[in-house]
Amino acid sequence: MKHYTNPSTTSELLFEVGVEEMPARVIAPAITQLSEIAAKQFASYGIAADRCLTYGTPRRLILHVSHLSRQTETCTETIVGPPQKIAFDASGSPTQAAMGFAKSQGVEVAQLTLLPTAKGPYLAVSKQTAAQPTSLLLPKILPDILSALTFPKTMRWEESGVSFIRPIRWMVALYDKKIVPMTYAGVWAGALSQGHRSLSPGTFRVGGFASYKKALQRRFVLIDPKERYDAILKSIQGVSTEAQGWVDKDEALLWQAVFSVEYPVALRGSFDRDFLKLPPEVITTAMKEHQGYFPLLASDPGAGRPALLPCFVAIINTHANETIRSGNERVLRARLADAKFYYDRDLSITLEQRRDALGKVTYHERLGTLHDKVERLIPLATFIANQLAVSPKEVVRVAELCKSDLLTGVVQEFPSLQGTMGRVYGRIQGESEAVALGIEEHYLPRVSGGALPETPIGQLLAVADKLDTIVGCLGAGLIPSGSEDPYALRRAGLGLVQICTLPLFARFSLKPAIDFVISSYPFLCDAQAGSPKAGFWGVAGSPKAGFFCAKIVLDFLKQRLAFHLASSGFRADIVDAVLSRQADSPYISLRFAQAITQSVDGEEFKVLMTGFKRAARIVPNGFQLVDLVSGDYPPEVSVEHKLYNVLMLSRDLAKQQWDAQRYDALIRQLATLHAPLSDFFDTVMVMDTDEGVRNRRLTLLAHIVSLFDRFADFSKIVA
Amino acid sequence: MRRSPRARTPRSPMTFQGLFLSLHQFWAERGCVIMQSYDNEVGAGTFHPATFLRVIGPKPWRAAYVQASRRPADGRYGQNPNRLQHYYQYQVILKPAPPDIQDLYLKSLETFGLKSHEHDIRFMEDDWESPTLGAWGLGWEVRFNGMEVTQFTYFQEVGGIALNPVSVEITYGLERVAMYIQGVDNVFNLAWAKGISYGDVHHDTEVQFSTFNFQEADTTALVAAFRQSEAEAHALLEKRLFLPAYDYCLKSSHVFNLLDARGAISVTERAGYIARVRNVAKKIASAYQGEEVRHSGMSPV
Repeated sequence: MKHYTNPSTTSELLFEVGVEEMPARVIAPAITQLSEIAAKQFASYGIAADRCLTYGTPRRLILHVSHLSRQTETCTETIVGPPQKIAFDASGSPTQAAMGFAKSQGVEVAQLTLLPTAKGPYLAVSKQTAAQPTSLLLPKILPDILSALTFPKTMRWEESGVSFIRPIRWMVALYDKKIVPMTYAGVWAGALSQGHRSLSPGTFRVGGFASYKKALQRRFVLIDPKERYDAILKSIQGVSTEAQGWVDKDEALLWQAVFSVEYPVALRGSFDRDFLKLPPEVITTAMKEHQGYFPLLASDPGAGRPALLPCFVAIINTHANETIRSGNERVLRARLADAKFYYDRDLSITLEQRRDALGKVTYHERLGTLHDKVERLIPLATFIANQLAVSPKEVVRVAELCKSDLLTGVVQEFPSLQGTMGRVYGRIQGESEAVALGIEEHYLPRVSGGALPETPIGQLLAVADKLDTIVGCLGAGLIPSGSEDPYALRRAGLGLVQICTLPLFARFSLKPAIDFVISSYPFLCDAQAGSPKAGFWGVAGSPKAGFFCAKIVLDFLKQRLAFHLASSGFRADIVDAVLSRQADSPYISLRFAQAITQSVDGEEFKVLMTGFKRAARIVPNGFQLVDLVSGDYPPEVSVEHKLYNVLMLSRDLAKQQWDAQRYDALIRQLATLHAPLSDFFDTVMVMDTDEGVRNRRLTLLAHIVSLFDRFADFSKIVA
Repeated sequence: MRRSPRARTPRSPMTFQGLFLSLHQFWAERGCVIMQSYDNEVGAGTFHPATFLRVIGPKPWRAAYVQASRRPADGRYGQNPNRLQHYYQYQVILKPAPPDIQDLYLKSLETFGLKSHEHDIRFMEDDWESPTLGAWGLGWEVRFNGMEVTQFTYFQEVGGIALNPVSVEITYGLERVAMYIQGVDNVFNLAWAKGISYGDVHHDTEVQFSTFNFQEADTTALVAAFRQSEAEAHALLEKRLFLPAYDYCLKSSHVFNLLDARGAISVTERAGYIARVRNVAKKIASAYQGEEVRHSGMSPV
């Protein structure tokens, strides 16, 4: 039990860690961590602090606390001892228990107090710890904060063996305008900071935070990422207006620039107009990837598809000049020249002609070549097309061509353009628009949560491709575990179930498609091809291998579906209830979960659930379900008769609603049972002493439970 | 005539050989042993024993050298202006890594007239890993106005051994730097010396070796050569002759690169070959470490 009093006066803390250039991607997380860890550290020492503000550039991490208490808060701690009733004897003298407690705490019995508790009064002692000066604690706290920072990959560079993201070269640690005598990684903190590496080399003396920030600004360093972001936008605006162009606000690229420089300046460069003959995706990829350049566009946003200008914008870390401009232009020119060389060469061979060469590219040792994959995709896509009543002609064409662009020079140079180049080349080579788009879309979503395919053919092929990969990998025992998922199967699985919740897949069932894929992998179904090592469960090559594989794939996809539904905002209990009964059609799972979600808070549904759960509890495990016989429930026993009638009606209607995928109506139909079921429980005693009566009542309830169970495991729903 | 305020480029830009001569001068003045290219086919300056072995153990070491390097798969028959199967790296290795190493590096650029305040010089994250050497490190690629000219690495592990002290490796891509200084877009047009171009020296090498690497190298013989080199290395290690063993480790590594360029290695086999080279490299590294520790009279922990 701790109790703080006495806030004391405060002083400013400024802590700057000077580092050799940190990777852009780690700086934002480090800034956040630095603030959180500092706040936690100060709190744990009882040092009152206002907000721990943090900043950073590639070369420095900064912590600023404008008001940090000069001393720890005095702490009164109450230690509870034995209860009063055993602490004193009848005459009121302290017992051994009281004396022992006083002794253990180093006080006299007279100094003990009585603390009222719920269990009666207890002996207690109050102890005060004296306030400690913050300045004496900081030399320990600041290094502790640094060692608590985590990075994706760290390095050692000096004798102390400290691990950090990059070598620390200087530190400024000032508290109350005095240097904090601290050391970390062989560096002693001081009052000297450094300006921009090339524009203002050398050190300068630091005072308070406000003057520090201004001094750095004069030395070409903007410490606040938000200020750099604004400066970049403004600078980009300036150079693009000059060229009557406009830059797409690519946030990822902008923030990468923010954390790559201390002094951002936008520089506009240009390239030969002739390169504009390349597809725009190739040009922008050549600019963005590796170089981080922004493409310059000709028209305003919203005015249709904007055309590229033969220009780019680079964010540099110094004043712009002609040397820097021509240097960057040279680099882009070489990259575009490479791309153009590959593009022109690619056009001489059609996607169709490349199909055979796919046989030379191993997709995976166990899953064969890319050619094998295509040969599996063609019948699989046809199979799914038939299931979805989509004409298979263009579907088959996409399956035939969708991997060919992997052999093109442009895709080998820029792997992120896979699919995109297939669309571009397909169009040029006279494939239909639907086929061209299908090739591009079959890779979607490219990242978890990324855009899904929009065309039916793209959706269908995306599902076929992912299913082929998932079945093959899981079947070969390549199962993701923990953070290890080298074949990105979880992402593929998530994308697959997401697409399968789209309306095109209303009548799609996973199991037959999975079985179809299994039949296309010899090591999963063909006894001749199977070797003892073929499948990880050791029964490869037997019909069992396929059986186990299907089960594993279904479980895997069910988990992905559960994750997708939960992250779309559905209640965990509803997802669980729905998926317990059916995950074979993600579309149905989604729609049914929606229907339950809409009704679950209604009064009728709650009553229904109470009745259902009661019924489920009463029916004994292993109760032999016999057919309902109408004569068993004559009109004379009116509650039973009524329940029987509503049940019979609901059973037929519910099945119809289910088959028609009208899930709202299905729930409404089930809900009609709520009144007769309540009446039933209110009026009759199920466990009658007469076995015949008991059994006919239990049979009625068992049929209700079984009706519900067909659609979802309603017992999991928390009403 | 009006003088441009930025006119700093020397009247005739530095030749290719001028570049490494001035780097030799610069790093010699800073205590580096100036060495020569290792006389074995290697993929990079890191494979030179002056780096791979000398970074192991506690003894301080500074060396600089030009390493002729081969990457058979990068050949383009002398037709690509930027790609070569044989090229030069300027390698500097400093153990322990001095705290002012970034400044030293920037100063070295001034020896060929590149003043850091006139350019946009960036240290961009680039972590280095050599699966064949069982080595990794963290550092940057240095970009000069957008162009990558240098690899900068703090070695953390070599041959599976955690290094203490940590060395820093600076690798200048000599052709890139020279192309930049001379303002040349095609590597074969570089002035190697006055009146002699890079193409004069190396164009035929590129054409012939590209043909050899991609079409003519006898894969059956190479597979046998790999096995022989590997066996020889193991046998020499048994006799504690780890320096000759290292030569055979390098030979097997180069043979592997040739087989790879010939497309004679499947994806799965690849990992196996790499693991075999690494296995030898690790044994050599630990044999060297044992020797170092024995000489320095330190306990092996």
